[in-house]
Amino acid sequence: MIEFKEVYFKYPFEDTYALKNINIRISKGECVFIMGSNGAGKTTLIKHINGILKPTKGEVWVNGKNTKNFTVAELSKIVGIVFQNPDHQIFASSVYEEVAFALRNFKFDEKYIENKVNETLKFFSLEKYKEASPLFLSGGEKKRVTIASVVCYEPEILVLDEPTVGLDLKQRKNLVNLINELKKMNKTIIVVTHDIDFAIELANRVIIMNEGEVLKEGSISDIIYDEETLRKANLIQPIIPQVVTKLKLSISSKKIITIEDFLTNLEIILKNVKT
Amino acid sequence: MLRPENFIYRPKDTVIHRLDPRSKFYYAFLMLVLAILTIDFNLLLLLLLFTLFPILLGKILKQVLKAIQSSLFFLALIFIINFIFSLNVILALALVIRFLILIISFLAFSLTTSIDDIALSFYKLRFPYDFVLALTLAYRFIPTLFKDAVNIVDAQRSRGLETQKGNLIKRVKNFMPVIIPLLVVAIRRALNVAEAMESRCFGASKRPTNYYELKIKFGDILLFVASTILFIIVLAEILGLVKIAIV
Repeated sequence: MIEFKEVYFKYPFEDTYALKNINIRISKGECVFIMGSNGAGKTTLIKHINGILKPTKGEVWVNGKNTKNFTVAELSKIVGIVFQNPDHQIFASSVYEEVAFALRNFKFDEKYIENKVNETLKFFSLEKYKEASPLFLSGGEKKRVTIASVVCYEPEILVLDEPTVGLDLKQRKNLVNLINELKKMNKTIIVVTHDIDFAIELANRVIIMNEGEVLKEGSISDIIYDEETLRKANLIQPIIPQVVTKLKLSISSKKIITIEDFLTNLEIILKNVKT
Repeated sequence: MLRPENFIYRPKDTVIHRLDPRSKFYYAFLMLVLAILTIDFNLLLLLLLFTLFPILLGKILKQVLKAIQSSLFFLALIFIINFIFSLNVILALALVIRFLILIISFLAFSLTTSIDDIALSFYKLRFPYDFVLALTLAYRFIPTLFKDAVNIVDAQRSRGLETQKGNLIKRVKNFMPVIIPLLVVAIRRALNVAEAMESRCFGASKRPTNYYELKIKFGDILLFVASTILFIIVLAEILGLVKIAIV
């Protein structure tokens, strides 16, 4: 479980707080999406989970451990973070070595590393690039390598920062499948994204941030029908909630999130529109 | 910690910001020369007082204090080393003040002068356009590169990298996962910038025109005269022609 208790954070030499009075609790096995405009404090928030940043005030607890008392290396065994820009991570001479990097740092034995890396490369369809330099892969492939290099050591908590950027439709579907698989394994998933459709597909809960504060917390249906919150967070309302809102239906609109929901309720919607 | 943000220009509308970069550079250069020429405590104190005027008029006191705060370690080191070797508090303090003058006069120039103005000054001094542009870009990318370095360190630490563990060779080796991505990102960015510049006709003219011209104004003449007078007085003191007593 992850718990932020009245967390404030200020970068050294900055005058304003990047995080203000953050109180969040994320249970084991939850899939939480953190959304908000640029500079809202999303990345600063996730850097607290594995102790890269320590709170200026307040406490962050991960699986009963106060992050102030543990090193990043110790917390990283529990929390795997995949950062937004793959170029900030990739350095090894081959994709195999890149994926094996964290496993070697955590001192797994070589036989286990070999099996685990091969298994992960297969899952991410990266086997053919096993010996290739990751520096010369395409943007989407690099992204997959970076996700694979964290997923391979099976952290209990997986944090993904803007994972859909640079992925084509097929790779995005693979990512959705991967997250669904991890959810089945009861892993805790935290995703930072601007991609609201991605949240619709996967989120158990959404946290909207604005100017270092939590603006709203709720289910995806609560969020996508809250035009005011979406406007403040600079997020575009998806097309289905837009249509439903414009039609001013008397039925519980919050049940209509996807195109499938819309089609299922089409008869009721049409009846509503006629009356 | 040294943070590039504390050493970088932010636009403001003050009398110092509006001055010509050449007159500000002339002032900063004279202050540097004088601070190096003398070791006299009184003179250095006088120079330190003189460096405060542009800081106050340019409304950059807060930024300067933050920069000094990040240099406190070096200042303490200068004082301790010189005190140990000379056992003279005044001399150790004088050397700290000398270092402060160097920092403050450099900051008075760099914090109030945009890189475009600096580049334009070089351009007006007939430096090649390619050199001027390279200078501008190098300066402009310092904070970006710093940000990249922080992100890379964070990303590698998140995969269990511990840069501070082991002997010296191991520590240097530990930095390879940071240095390689940093170099790759910097080279990629340089190539992207080069392509973007070429797409906008870079190199079509050997001496392109400028958006605006630099002009010497009354304030520049005043700074030039004041700096020169101070230079002459301090030089006369150093040569023993006059005697200044402050403390």
